[in-house]
Amino acid sequence: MKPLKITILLSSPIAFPIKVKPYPLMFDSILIELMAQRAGRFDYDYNEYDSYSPENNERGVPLAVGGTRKKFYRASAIEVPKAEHTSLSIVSRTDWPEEQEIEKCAKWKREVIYVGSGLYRNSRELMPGIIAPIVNFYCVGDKEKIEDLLSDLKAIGVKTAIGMGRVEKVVVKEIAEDYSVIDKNGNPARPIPFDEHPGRGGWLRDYCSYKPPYWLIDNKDMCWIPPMYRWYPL
Amino acid sequence: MIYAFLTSLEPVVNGEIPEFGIRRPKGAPLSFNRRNVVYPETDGKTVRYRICRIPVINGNSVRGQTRRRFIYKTLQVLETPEKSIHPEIIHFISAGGGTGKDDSPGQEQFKFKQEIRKKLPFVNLLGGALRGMFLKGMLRVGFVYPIIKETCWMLSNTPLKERFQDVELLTASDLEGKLDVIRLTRCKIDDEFLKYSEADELSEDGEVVVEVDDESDDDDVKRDKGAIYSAEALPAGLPMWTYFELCRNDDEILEAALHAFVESFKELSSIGGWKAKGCGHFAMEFMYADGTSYNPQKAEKYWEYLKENKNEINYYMSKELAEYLRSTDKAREEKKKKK
Repeated sequence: MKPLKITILLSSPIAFPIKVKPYPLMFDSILIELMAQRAGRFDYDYNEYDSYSPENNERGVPLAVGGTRKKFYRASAIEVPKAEHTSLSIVSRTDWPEEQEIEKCAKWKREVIYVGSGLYRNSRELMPGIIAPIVNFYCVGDKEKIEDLLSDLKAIGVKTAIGMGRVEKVVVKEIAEDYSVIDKNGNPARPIPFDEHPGRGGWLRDYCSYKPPYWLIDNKDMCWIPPMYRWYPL
Repeated sequence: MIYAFLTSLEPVVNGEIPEFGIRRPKGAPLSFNRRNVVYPETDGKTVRYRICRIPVINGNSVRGQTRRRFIYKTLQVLETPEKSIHPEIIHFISAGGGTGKDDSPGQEQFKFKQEIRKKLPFVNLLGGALRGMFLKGMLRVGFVYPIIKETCWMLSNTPLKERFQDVELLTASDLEGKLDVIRLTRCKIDDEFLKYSEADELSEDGEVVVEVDDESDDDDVKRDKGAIYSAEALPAGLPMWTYFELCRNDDEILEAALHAFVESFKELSSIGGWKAKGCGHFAMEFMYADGTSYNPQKAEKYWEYLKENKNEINYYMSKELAEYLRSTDKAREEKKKKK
């Protein structure tokens, strides 16, 4: 396992979700998603034992594991060197009742549906996003295996189903220094649990996940977090 | 992966939501959906990436409109009985669904997800949300980019590259200059029609007597010029491109469903809005990543699968998915009781 720098060239913006706290993209979650997809899994089973977690790593995630009590993968959050603000407008319409062939299949309780609010509402949303030509990740891992997995990577971020975060090229190269946990400026490069690091002056803290899946509330703990300008430099 | 090479045959309208809550001034045309894109600029030694703002059509526009057509065709082939499916499930299938305020997925959502992926290939392809259960669709649809100098670098790994190698392309600023503004104007009502609306009284001979207020010339001009809608439009004849791809390549039925989806897009042959007003019609050409042309025969497997399994699929949509809705209803009621 060696320190690596992964550079990704993007052709379309990275979107951030609305109505939830923004969070940075994590390299270990990208790798695990690619591994799970190769294994034919696209959904997370809450009831099943997580074989990708850093505690056991039974699936052989090609990343080094850090920490002793609360283990995490040595893979950084996204680093965006330069970016500009952009947005994505999303319009959703409930227009299927106009299509007679579709509408007639519906078992109606009432004949009229209200599209102003409620489940069938029409909506117009503007998602925030950043346009960045190049983004970087750092990790300690197996270069060949990571390169092989990243050959499947087509898009990163949210709303990739409608063209966001399109990946054009990925370059993996070995570097001398390890920036997977602490970055060049001495700030956290990823969430580090309080139990694993005493922290330094000026570091930010938050209640967030420190291992994948990052959206799962069970994985949350008090952590030192990377500064926002690292992943949302606006 | 299927690439689509599109040429607009009519002006294309695709409205933008203004940023930062800025309201469009009264009478100003609906601005075209513009997004920042990145492009490389090289001086022979170094490459610099620059950002410009160009008109694009979002993937969700293509995906949403084609989805409705695709589901319409799917339900026709399935011969789904009338009034057999819960409207929330229809909404989930044909528009991606939604999630209400207190909706939380049941304990067995993983089981349902696996079953849906296996039994309903059209939902596996397009995804959706049902009572807090989010199902990721396997289809990715790209932005529809105009082929101009700033975007042609994106074609470097595609079969469209050779086609535009030696062609003089427009720049982003050229394209801005070529954007049309389409206006729909209110017409003056002829006297002949006035008798139906403003007839005050009938004369002794049975003729309609209409009293028309005197209007100055300025008012006449105002009425004639009174535009009620106007929108920016991309010009006809503009080359554009997009792509359709799957997250997984190991499922034959899913690949056939992708071809059926592309077939539906081809049938629609239009993108954007104002279709009823003569906008958005395209000439389309499809090809695979290796440059071979699109084979519509590959969609047959999907339609055959639907025909062979139509009873099972209809039963699943009408009974078993309804069971999932009932289980979430129960959970919601229990939650309310606890409160």
